[in-house]
Amino acid sequence: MNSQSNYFKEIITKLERLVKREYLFSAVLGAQISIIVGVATFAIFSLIEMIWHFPSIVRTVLFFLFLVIFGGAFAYLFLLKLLKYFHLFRNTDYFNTAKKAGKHFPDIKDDLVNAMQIVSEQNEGRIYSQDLIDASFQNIYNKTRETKFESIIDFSIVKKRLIYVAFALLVSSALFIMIPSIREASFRIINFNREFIAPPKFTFLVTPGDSEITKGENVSILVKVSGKIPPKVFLAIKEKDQTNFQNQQLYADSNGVFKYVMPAVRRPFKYYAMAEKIKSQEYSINVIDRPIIKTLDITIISPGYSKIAPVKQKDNGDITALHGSYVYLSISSTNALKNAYVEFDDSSQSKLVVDGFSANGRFIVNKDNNYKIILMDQNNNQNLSPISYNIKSLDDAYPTISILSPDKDVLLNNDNRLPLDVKISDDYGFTKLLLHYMLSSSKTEKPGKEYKSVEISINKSQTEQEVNYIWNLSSLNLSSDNIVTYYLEIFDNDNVSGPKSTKSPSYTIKVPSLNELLTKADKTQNESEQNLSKTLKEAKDLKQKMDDISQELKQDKKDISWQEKQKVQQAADQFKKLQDKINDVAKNLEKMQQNLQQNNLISKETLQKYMELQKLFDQIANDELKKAMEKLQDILQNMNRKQTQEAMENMKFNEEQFKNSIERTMNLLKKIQIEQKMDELVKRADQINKDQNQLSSETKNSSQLNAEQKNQLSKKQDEISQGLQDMSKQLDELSKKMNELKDMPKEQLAKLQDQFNQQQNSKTSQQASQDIKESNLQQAEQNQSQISKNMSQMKDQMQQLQQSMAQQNQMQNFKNMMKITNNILTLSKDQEQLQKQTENMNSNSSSFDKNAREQKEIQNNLDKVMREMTSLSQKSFSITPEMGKSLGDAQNEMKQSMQGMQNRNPNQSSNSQGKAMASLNEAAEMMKNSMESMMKGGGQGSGMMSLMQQLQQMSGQQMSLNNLTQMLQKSMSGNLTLQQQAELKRIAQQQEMLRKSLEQLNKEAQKSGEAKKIPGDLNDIANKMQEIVKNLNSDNINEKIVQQQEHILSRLLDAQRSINERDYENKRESIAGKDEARKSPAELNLSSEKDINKIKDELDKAAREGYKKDYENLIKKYYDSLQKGNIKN
Amino acid sequence: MKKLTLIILSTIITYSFSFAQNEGAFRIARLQYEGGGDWYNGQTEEPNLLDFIKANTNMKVNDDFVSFNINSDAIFSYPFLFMTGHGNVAFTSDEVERLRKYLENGGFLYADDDYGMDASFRIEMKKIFPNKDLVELPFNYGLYHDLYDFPNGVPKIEKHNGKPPQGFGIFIKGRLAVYYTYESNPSDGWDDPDVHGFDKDKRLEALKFGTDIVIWALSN
Repeated sequence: MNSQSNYFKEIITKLERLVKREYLFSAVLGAQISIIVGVATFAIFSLIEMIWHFPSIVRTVLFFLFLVIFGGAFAYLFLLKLLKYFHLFRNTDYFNTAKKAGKHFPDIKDDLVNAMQIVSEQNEGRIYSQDLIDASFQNIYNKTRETKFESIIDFSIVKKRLIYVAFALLVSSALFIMIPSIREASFRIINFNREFIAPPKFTFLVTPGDSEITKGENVSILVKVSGKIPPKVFLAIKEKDQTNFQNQQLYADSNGVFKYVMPAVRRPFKYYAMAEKIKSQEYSINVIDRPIIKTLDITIISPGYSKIAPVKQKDNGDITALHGSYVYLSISSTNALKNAYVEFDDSSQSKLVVDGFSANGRFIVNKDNNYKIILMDQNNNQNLSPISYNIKSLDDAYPTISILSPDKDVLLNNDNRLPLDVKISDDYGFTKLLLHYMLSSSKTEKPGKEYKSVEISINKSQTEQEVNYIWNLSSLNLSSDNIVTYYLEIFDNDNVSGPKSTKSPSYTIKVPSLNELLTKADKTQNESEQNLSKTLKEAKDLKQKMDDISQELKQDKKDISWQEKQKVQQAADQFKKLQDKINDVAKNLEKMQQNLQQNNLISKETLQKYMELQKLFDQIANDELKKAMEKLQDILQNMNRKQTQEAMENMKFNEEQFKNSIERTMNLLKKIQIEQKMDELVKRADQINKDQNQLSSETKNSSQLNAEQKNQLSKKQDEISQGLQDMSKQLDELSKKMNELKDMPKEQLAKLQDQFNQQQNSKTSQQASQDIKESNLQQAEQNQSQISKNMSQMKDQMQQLQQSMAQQNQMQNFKNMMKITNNILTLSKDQEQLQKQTENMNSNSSSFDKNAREQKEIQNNLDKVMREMTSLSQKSFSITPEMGKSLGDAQNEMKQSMQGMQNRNPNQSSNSQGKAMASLNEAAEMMKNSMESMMKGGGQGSGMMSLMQQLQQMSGQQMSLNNLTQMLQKSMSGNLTLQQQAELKRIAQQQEMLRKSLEQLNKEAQKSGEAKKIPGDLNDIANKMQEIVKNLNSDNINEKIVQQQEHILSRLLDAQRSINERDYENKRESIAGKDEARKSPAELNLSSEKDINKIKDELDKAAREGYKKDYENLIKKYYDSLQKGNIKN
Repeated sequence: MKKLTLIILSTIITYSFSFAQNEGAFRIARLQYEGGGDWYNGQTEEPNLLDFIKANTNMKVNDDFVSFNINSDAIFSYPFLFMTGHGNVAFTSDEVERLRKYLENGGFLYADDDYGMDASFRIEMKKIFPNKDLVELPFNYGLYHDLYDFPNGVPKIEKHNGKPPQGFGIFIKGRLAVYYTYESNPSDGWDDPDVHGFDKDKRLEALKFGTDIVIWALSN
């Protein structure tokens, strides 16, 4: 039995394990189901409660029902199984268990049940062999020994079901968390014994809720309603000290938000939202009385040098001021202040002095910055969100300077003056204008190393001005070939950062040597002559070309061909070019003549001839010629052969005249060149004489000089030697030029040349130089003295030669003119006689042939006279083109008269003869007048010459006066001495005399009608002289007076120059304009000006009323848009 | 009828201004200026224009040629200043101030470019009125339709560069204070006939235009 019971027990133990595992499995599953049931039940109950919001009794039922369901499920499905697991309340049926195991394990099948059956039946008294039982059990035991019955229970189901549990828990948790009302419902179920009030239909969300604001600030209250939106929402407000709330209905905006703005809140208040008796929580707004800037007054004091008036700003803290400006702030606050300061962006601060409700202070503008004004009141309340103001620091710009004239290197004129026209500008004014100069090159002395300076008087407060300063270089004692470098420097008046300066470019002034000036003039003359000669040749070629074209045009065709038109056009263009060349020559000669005149290198006689020559130039390109050319151009457009031919003939005639005029001009120019060359030699001789005398006196005093100083003297003597050699060359040149013309005093000049060569002046000078070097001063002086003597003699002789040549020429011309005049008068008488005869003739008269022959003879004689006149015109300016024109008219009338005779028309013939006689008389009258003028000693234009000479004389006097004034000014130190006062009176008297002379001259000029521009100028100069006299008489002498005198001198020189200027303006072409249709310009918009003013007014108003910056910007933008038309009404 | 009204108007205006000038008749003052331009050129221009005005309107005029520097107080007695020239115009800052004062207080300046004055004149005007521009007047502007009708605006009197003639104005509070003609040069047409050699019609056109300018300046 032992063994049997052992196997049995073993089997039972194994089965028991299976049973226990089954109960455990069931308990776990039961627990899972219980949880799901519990959670689901609670959730469902909560949902029900949420919807119906049950009273306590129902919730008690629900709660207990939940407990029953959940507890029942838990007890039955979990606890009971668990108890059975622990053998409590269990009735174990191993047979069933064995069956389950047998089913699951195929090897066992019913064996285990059968074995169990045997044991059971034995126990019931059935007779089974013990061995059989043992064997059976042993057999089964052996079969199942390795088998674990409990393995048939699969716990993986439990794991799978755990997911459902988790899901159920998750969903329910989510519901509770996300839906507050479910949560609240569950709360009410749990607290089943309490009564809960039913929730309202809607709730309020009110902002800002409880808050603090600054007194005067606006409070914006927003009410959001959640739940069912009530039709009306009210805001109940109660200020402090009020007993009742005041209701204010609110209206929702498009977002459903109810908004109410309480403007400028000054007292604390309570408020809540309300609708359908449902109220929000009650909130409080507490008002803090922060300090606010009530007024802000700013005064900007710019640096004194800027002369900017103090700028006052009211309630506008933005500052734009010059660097270094002081900004004074004055603030009034709403609260009594404890302290106040200005806080800058760079964290620096400037404290303000506090006095009750106001604060004052200042700061300096030294850079661009931003600042805020911080206030703190007695309760330590600070001003809220102070405005950030902008500071713009303006820099003082550098001054500017530009030399308007001369804007290049120049040669110094004989008057030693350089007029400077300088433009200066600065933003606030100037301190000084300096002229810096230095001798930068000299043959005789060492150049300077440092610049010297002269202050030029300027108006220091005028920010932009043109300064006209006449620099008198006389005191520098400059000599030939010296070069002075100069520049100007202007200083502004910035005394904050120190005056800033700007320099002009440097220029040089060269003192031209006599030789340089004369060589330059020579060059211009030669070039002019060459150009004239070339132009003459071209004019001759052109004449040939025109003849050919004219011949071609004579073909019997109606229209001209394109090629012919081109040829005519080319000829006309060429003609125009020739005229331009002549104009260029005239301009160059005029410039040269002015230059010589300015340097006093030209005699008045030569100058007069130059002026005559300029007139000739003007006549070369006369209006008739231009008109002929225009006519040709117009006709060419029509392509009409006959008209073109006529116009071409006209042009040919003009071209012939043009050619003859050039020829005449050339010959006269040659003559002038000779006269000018003689002027030049007189000047050279005079200059050498002066230089030599000067050097002689230096040599006399040179015994104490060292070798180097003597070397300098020797160098000066070498320059004289060079001058003498140049003079010799110029004498040869003069001789050569004289040989080209007839009626020149060649022999007298040859004698002078011989004398000059025999004197061996150059050699003597070289010897003198050597003597100086070797300290043979006595010998040197003797040689120098000889040279001076020779040159003085040469000058006199040359002047005599000039004079005799002029007289001789004048006499010759006079004689020729007389002869021509007599011939003209004879022709006139002959013509008169012939006319009388013709008058008495009738058309059948037999005397036509005889009279025609006589007329022909008179005509031939007139041709001879005209040739004589042309010949004389090549030598003298006295023959005017008008004279030639009158003779030309007489010639034409004679031709007409001949024609009349051929037609046997005595009336026509007589009429033309009368006209011819009148023209002859006219020519004779002109000749007579010209001769009378010559006898009086003046030629054409003598009135202008006289005016010019007088002006020249006055310029000289003014220059001396200026020098005297300047010397006196320099010698002054403080008050004038009695002697200086007397000197000043003398200068004033002389200035007054000069003024009276000028007035007289002006009257004469006005009467004579000479030089239209002059009278106005002279009048002005005289007025300025009067001003100076007034100042000098008041013992007033300063730099301003000096400059005024220099300006007078400059204007006198200008007036003098303008007399002989070719009056280009008067000759300016006037061509009538042709009207052409064109579109009208756009309509005027005069309202814009008013608009701008309106904007300005509005902005000013905004600023006055203290709008905040952003509001101000808004206004500005609005008006800008209005002006641009972006906003439509 | 329009012309009659203008003539009557011009008479009234002239009488009113004649008191201002203390000489009993309307005169034009020529403006002298510095800079190098020939302010003095064409001194028969104003006398001829005034003679024309006298002959064709009821205005009482004094046809003497008078000229003043801007610094002269006399300019304030003349409601109509005229300037012309070929060259450079330059006003000093004092002159700029005075001219501005003159124009802002009711004065009228007529400037006529006689060739070569344009660039400098515009610069100087900018000095006087930095915030104002010379605006070209449209053809329907009243000045061109005063006593005489100029449907195409400024007439072309001088050829100059052959460009279309232009009339510009500067307005002060809606009033034409400065009138400037460019590429037209009407004042050359007022000169004596032999000065520029214009034909009778061209001169007449210029004189009529000048009359319109004077009447407009005095009546607006």
